[in-house]
Amino acid sequence: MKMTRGERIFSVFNIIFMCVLNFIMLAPMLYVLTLSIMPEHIISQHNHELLLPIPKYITLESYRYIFAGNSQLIHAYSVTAFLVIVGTAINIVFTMLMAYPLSKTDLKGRTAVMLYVFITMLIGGGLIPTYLVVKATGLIDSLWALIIPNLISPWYMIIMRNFFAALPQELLEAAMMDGAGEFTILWRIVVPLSIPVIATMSLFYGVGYWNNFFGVLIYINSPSKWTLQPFLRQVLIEASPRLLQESGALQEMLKAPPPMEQVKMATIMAATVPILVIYPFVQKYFVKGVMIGSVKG
Amino acid sequence: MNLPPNIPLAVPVKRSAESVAEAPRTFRQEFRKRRLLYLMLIPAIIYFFIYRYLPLFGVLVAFTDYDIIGGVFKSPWVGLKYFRMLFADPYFWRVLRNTLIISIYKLVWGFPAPIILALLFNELRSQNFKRVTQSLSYLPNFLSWVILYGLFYQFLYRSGLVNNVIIKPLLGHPIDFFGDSRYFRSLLVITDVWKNVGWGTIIYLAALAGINPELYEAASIDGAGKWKQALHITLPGIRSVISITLILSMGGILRAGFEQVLLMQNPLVFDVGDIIDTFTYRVGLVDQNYSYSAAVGLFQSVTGMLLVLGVNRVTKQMGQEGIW
Repeated sequence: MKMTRGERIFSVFNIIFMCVLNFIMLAPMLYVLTLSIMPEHIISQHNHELLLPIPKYITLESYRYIFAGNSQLIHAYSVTAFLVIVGTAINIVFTMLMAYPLSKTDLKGRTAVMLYVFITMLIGGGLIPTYLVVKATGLIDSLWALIIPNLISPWYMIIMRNFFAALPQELLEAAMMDGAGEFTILWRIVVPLSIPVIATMSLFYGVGYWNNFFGVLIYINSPSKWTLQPFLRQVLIEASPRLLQESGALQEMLKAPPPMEQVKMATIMAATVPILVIYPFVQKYFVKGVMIGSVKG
Repeated sequence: MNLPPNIPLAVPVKRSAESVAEAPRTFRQEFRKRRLLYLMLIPAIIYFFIYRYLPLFGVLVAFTDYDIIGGVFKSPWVGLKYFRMLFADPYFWRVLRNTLIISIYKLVWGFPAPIILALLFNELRSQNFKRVTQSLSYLPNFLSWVILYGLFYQFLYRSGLVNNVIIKPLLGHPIDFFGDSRYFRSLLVITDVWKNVGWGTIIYLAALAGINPELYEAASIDGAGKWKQALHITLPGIRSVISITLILSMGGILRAGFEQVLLMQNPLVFDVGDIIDTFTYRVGLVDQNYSYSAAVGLFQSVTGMLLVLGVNRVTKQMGQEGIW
């Protein structure tokens, strides 16, 4: 189709605008990356105006420091990894178990259960009553306090239910004819057909654990159970890099730790990069997963 | 009574003859199979009861003098004492005002932005460029506020990149976004829009993909230009999604972004930047005044719910689709 003059001008401006937008989205991240790998004197020489690193000065000293020896960062990583893997798996299983029966339009009582869920989406108890329930169920200072109280997200459950309802029902019925039970059908037929929505929901739940800051702040008391975000927050408000290393570890490094600014920037990157790495792989699924699931049903 | 499932056309004739022959057993089997479906729902129903309904009953704490040792049932009933205290507290009115100002700003900037961006995405011709741009714009949604606080603090503080490169040359002096009451709300709004604008486009892009392309063809044959098409086909096509998103965002009007504000605020900007959520947190979990804090929380969630219900009703009366 031929474009008119006006359309061509619009198109050019649109592309320029998008380039500016991409730059705005990337700039803060690039800047912090640069600060984490440039020596302090180079940064001050350039009056903090370095957006891109100068290759010949690149140093990984701060990264070596935060990962070395008995590193608190690695400890926080492992706690977070436990939550992301175990927590997400549990969330997905229970979300599916709820979404699957509710995807059957002829199931008696379905409307009542949906109403039961819907009410909780409209109104919640708020911070203190929720805290008291978590406390009463004995979860304070346990990592389960970050998993069980958020077992099923109503939103994600509904998206999953809609996705299941949009699957070709003849397939499920044919399996039932062959004598397969509902659990078999769910596991053998529904799950393999629902990879886009399962991948998307896993990403959402997983990122939720990765990014959880407030939950850890209120429910977890022992610093040994801290995940990445509270740890990062502590590093950001700390003045000295010593907190990152247990005493006794790597004495020679402790005598001359890298500048705190650099260590902070490296810790930010360390908390960001795993998401940047996983993101492109899941990204191709989530538009599809969310779109099919969010068709109003 | 449940009827046996309709036999799909794809199933071979032989098998359907079998299942007709076994009709009475299929009946019982069907019931058993449905029982499994109900069984699957049980954990979810228990979960929702404990962690989503018990806190709803737990708001009763707001009407008692909470006894930390004795628990809810041993706490003396004090009626509306904490609500009276709340409405008489000038600090509460200040945080309520801050909350409203911040979330209305966020709505004014953050609500139309993804709609406009989705329309612009839709006009990009190069699929590769479009994909890269979209992916980049979704990304901030997945970064935590702790990370973003770290990023933006570095980027925007007094001698950070933005101040040194843009603001100092323009104004002659740096702007202290994190410590100056005049700019703190703008900081909250800008970083919030930055985080959410891209992700917000997804739902509109889904709606745009659902518009029948024949409508555009017909319109261009009738001589309608791009602008007219956008006005008369695209916007009406996504109108119902716009109204649903708007209704849902009403529920959050008393939540101005808890984690973001908690992380970015400091005593220098409490006058403009302290909001209901951070106030609830300090009163409740830091000072351990559970009853007072629960009262603030109850006020917040009831107002949110009433706003959603009210706006939904108005929207439906205006002839638009509501959320149910």
